[in-house]
Amino acid sequence: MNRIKKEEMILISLLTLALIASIIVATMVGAVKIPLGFFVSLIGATFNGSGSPTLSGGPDYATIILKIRLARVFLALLVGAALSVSGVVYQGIFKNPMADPYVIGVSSGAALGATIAALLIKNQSFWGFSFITLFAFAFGVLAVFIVYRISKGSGRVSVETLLLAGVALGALFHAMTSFIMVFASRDLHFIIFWLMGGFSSKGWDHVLMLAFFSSLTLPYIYLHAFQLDLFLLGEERASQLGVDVERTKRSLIIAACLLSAAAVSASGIIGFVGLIVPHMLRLIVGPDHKMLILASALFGAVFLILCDLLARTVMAPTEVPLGIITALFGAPFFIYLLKRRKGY
Amino acid sequence: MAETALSLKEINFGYASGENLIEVELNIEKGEFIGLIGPNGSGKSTLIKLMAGMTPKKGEIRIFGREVNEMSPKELAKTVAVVPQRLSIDSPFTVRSVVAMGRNPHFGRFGNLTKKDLEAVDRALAMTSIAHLVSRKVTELSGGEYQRVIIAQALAQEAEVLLLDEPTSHLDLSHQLEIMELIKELSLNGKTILVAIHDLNLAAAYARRLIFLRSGRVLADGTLEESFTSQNIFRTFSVPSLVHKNPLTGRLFATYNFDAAKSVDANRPAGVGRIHLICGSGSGAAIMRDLTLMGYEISAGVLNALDSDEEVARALGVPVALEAPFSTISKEAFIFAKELMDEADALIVANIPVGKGNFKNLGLIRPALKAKKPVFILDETPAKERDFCSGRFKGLIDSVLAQGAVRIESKGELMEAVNKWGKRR
Repeated sequence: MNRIKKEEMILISLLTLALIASIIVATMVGAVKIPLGFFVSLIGATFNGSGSPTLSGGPDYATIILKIRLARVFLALLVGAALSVSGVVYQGIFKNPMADPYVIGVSSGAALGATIAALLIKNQSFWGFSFITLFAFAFGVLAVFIVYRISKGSGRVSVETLLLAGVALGALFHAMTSFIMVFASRDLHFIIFWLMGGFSSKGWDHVLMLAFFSSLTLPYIYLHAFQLDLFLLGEERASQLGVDVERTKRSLIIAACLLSAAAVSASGIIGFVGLIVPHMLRLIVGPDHKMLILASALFGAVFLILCDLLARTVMAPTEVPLGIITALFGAPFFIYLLKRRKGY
Repeated sequence: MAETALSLKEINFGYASGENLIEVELNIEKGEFIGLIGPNGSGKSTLIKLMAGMTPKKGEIRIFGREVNEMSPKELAKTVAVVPQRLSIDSPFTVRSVVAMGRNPHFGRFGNLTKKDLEAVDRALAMTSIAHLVSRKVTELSGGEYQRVIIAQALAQEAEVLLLDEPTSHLDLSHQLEIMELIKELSLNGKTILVAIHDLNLAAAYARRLIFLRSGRVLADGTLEESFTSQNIFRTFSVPSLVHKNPLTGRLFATYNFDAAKSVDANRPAGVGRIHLICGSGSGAAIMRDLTLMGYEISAGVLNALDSDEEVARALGVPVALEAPFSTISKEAFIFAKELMDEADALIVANIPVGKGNFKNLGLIRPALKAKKPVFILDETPAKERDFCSGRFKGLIDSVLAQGAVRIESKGELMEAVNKWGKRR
């Protein structure tokens, strides 16, 4: 629907403001607190084109902001948006409230890929990306590909089979990951932290990688919002209303799979974002996907920026893995949803 | 010559391993209003899905001359709209959103509603009179409102052909009629309509052509007058029925007789024989009804116009040799009655009073006996008491009984005797 109502405009504006506010707060707060005055003058200086301001006697705030904080905040922003939107797509296509980027195998594939890379070629890189990221991405996509092939019977992709195949393959990949971990005592700590997800020691190269995939897939998904609405009436009805069901399903799964695999390879396994964000927003904005995609992307970004902020400040200087924070919020909410679920 | 809207040629459909569930050959012309009738599981829904683009195992489906599998889903949805039998929408979409989904086949690349789309949505809302519900959630509507939303969604497609699968099931009487009136209006606007429907009388009241489906095969297909017969109803549902013209509305309607249904052997093919009946003054009404229910074809006469039996015969569609009211039987009328009797396989003489006016009818008995046709004479009231022509009737009866006519003492006995005879055949 192209009729965006007034309340919806207000909600989008509020979410955009919240996003800007959370970017600023998350950039300023951390192990090193950055004074608001400096932040403002930095922004001013950036817009004027003059060099970075420095404060005499203080730490190199500009480096902290530009090299570390901003990269991290933008990575959280993009991962949050990517996971949320791919969650919207999976839940819409599969007409299943439990579907999220991980159920169909992205996470287990990425975990296995990252583990293999950590064991074999941890410290090498290719075109500026560590092999961990590349392997995680490749295995995430591979897992979805396998699951998709399994569920593709006689020309038609069965949603039920796809979800079940995702769970089964996930179990297999988890077993393989655990098996490797038994032998990788040297890298065990690293692998465990990767599996728990987070943005520490991630930089602009990850941001660029994810920005690339997001700019490729997010507009495509947004343009198919109406088809996603129709999928909620069931595939048969969607087809009767002129949707090329198999083609649309395939291309949307590919888009969501690339998007979530890119996010996971950049951040590790961050659970529940792709599951709860679409659900929360659906309760607020209703089922129309145009609005749902937009709102979920914004809210997912805000949510993950704030979770990351919490992760690095709550026990500073120790960083809590991000996956733990999101799960602490996500699991109770998930249970609450299960209790009050009345249809989708 | 009307344009062909839909043609199904040598269509077979069934699951890969099993037998063919559907085997049909159909032609539907532009502007037709067709009722699709058949028991549960007879393939009505499957047939509709095939017409809406489901791929058959074998055969060719064309829509306005174009083969269906050469059309894109959008092109197909622009031409054929379906109102499915069961469509549950669990998501709390607004009524407007759901109806707007019907515009999907008309959308361009960016999926935005144009002014034309919005107008089509408004028209669909107005036609189904749900404009006041636009911002309500579909999950909160009553059954009748919900059904109208689904129909509006199909109308928003602005397709030439509309296929409706049980659009009135689960609706109360007034909503059923409301939906059927709406469909009738669409038909008057030139849409080609096929509606699968369980209520035969609703179908007969609206559709102009009926297709009877059983086990995926077309049993009968024709105009309402040709096809809406108790025979076709019996062959399709194994339920005995009477089809009459409602004297008030002039419409055909069926009433079902479940007592008779028990006594009728459902495996026996309907219409085992034709029986001519001599009756009058109400003596033949019940016999005609019961014999029709049992699947026999009946003819009657000579009867005087305005006789109560004549009215029953007309309502049941029984051919009658007719004479003017209160007149003595003429030669012409008798010759016609004789022709009817000649075509029949048996003769029944009802428990009639006989006077000068109708004595001539009994002239049918001897030719029937001569042609070795069974003659059943219902003699509930002693012949002597019904004889108003100074003993000539009593004499005739005695003599034909001697020649092989069968005397029957009650209606129940008559039905038994007829059935016994029918089974032997």
